[in-house]
Amino acid sequence: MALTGAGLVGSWTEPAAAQATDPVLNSSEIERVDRSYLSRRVRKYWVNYAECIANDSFSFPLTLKSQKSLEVWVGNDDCAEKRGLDDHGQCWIVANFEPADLSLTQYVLVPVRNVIARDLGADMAPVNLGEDVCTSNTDEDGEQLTFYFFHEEGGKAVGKASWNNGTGAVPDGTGYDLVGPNPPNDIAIGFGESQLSIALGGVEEDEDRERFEAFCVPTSGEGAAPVDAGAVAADASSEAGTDPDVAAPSACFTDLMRAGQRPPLGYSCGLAGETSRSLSTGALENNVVYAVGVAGQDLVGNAGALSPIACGRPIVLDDFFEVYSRSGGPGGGGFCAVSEPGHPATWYWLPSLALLGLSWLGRRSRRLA
Amino acid sequence: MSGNFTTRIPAAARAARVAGVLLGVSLSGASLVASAQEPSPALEQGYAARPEPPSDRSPQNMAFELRLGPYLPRVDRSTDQPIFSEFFGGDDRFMLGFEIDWQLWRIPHVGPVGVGVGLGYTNMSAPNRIPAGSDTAGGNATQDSTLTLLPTFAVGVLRVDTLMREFGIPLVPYGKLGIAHAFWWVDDGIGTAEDAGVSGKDTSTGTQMALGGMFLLDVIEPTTARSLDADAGINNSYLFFEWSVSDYTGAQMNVGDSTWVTGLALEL
Repeated sequence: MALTGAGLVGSWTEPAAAQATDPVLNSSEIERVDRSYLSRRVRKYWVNYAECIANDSFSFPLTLKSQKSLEVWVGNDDCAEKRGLDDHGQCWIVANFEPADLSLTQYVLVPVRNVIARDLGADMAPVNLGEDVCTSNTDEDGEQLTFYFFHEEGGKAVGKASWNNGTGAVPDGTGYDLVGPNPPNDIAIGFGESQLSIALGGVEEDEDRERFEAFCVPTSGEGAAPVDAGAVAADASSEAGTDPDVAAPSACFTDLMRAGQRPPLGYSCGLAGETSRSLSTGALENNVVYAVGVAGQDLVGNAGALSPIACGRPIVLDDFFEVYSRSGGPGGGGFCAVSEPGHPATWYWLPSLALLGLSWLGRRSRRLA
Repeated sequence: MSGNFTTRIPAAARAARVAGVLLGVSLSGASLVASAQEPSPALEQGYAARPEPPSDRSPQNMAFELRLGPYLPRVDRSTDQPIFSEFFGGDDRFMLGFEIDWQLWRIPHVGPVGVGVGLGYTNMSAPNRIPAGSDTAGGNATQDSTLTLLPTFAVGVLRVDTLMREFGIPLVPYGKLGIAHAFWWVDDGIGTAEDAGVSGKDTSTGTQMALGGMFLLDVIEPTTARSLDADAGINNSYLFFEWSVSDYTGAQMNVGDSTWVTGLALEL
């Protein structure tokens, strides 16, 4: 394994040259346990809401020379001035680690919830943070961070490496951003076969928005999402339940989707660019009633609050080829389909070959001349 | 086929220049005038030391046409009922295309004869139909079918430039005859359409013929025409108008049409 210090950042002054190489972080092999981040073209090392809910972790490969325990800190400031382990200002501890076999690369896992929580304390007892951490930050821009790695010795930091994805192929930093952009204020549903189309209205400018994401929750048929009876009753009796701008319409009521709230993860059904004012969903079941909402989505992949909810039901439609074929229209089957008897394709190619031959003879005779 | 020439332009260099010059010729009449009044540095450099004989021409081997015209495929000839016109309507669509001819031989006192190949593109969309009796719950069907046509053809071409060359009349009538092979496919709004397991894409093969005439643009700006020949190897530039007929009979979708086509032609 080729280990390199490339990509490490930090401006700490190092007292001993030997300590500068311990720990060594192989930044080119930093990964996340949940591989969904790989689907993003940018900001792969940022943590979004879904990844927080999935309880994702960073995996940092380190080469260590010392058996001393290792600590991982995170900060949004220069932590060079905050080496004291009890300093919680702009630097906070997110993991500690007891090195094992130093001849092997040590992989340090840092749960993303630890990064977001900020207040775990220096003693770092084993923590198992809940999903509520994922809603603890409401800053639409998120927070850019730097990871710091150093050995702990008698309450002091020894050696260090740091990383903030500031170099490399896509140096767009690391951090977390848990809040998505604003939705369209209005949507209108059109139906197709195995598909719904959504017209987006009342779209206000939002610099954080990179695209729109549609969410479709089936409310009828075999795949219908279960409805919490209590939620139905609550919605039916509360102001929100009678407010068509908040709850899903009764024809497609689901307690999974409400205007202004986060969309239900796992029910994404389509994407469109930020400048688009319409959106077509992916494949849906025909004759199933869906509750449909649209959210803005940012660079990190966060879907923001939902638009008003509307109902849609894909149905079977007849496309042109179906109408044509059922009326006896010949053809179809692919570009390489074998000609049917009587198909004139075979003899039509003879003059084509003749033309090509004529062309070749003409050029050849000219060359000879 | 070619007059005497002293400035021989390598074939590769000519090809590279043609693309850039095409745009200038087709879009900018004003720039033609301007360049006629103020010869380009290249022109000045190339011709400064010698006079400009009218017969100083680069070799002429091929022709290029940029083609545009209305198009309405005769799909209804493939069915008993007017399925196509009911679905897509009867309005013409536009087809954009190009053609490249190799002028193989010049018939004395007639003109060049050769072979050509061409490619066109057009498509048409309309909403899919709601089957009778469907419960649409008051909604709107917003999914379209799109029929895309990509006709290709290979033709023999005769261009009669006797009028131009021997009588100074800037008109060149021409005729084309050959075969046509069109790729077509139907998108149902999600992907390639399908009916009973049969994919909605195929090819149709038929005949292609055309009669037309070209107007020589060189007579408007002879100086510019000479500079185009010297700089890019463009012997002649034309505006053309032709009647084009493609027909795809038999057990296949007839995606042909009988229609007019106009555009810009360059002889190289």
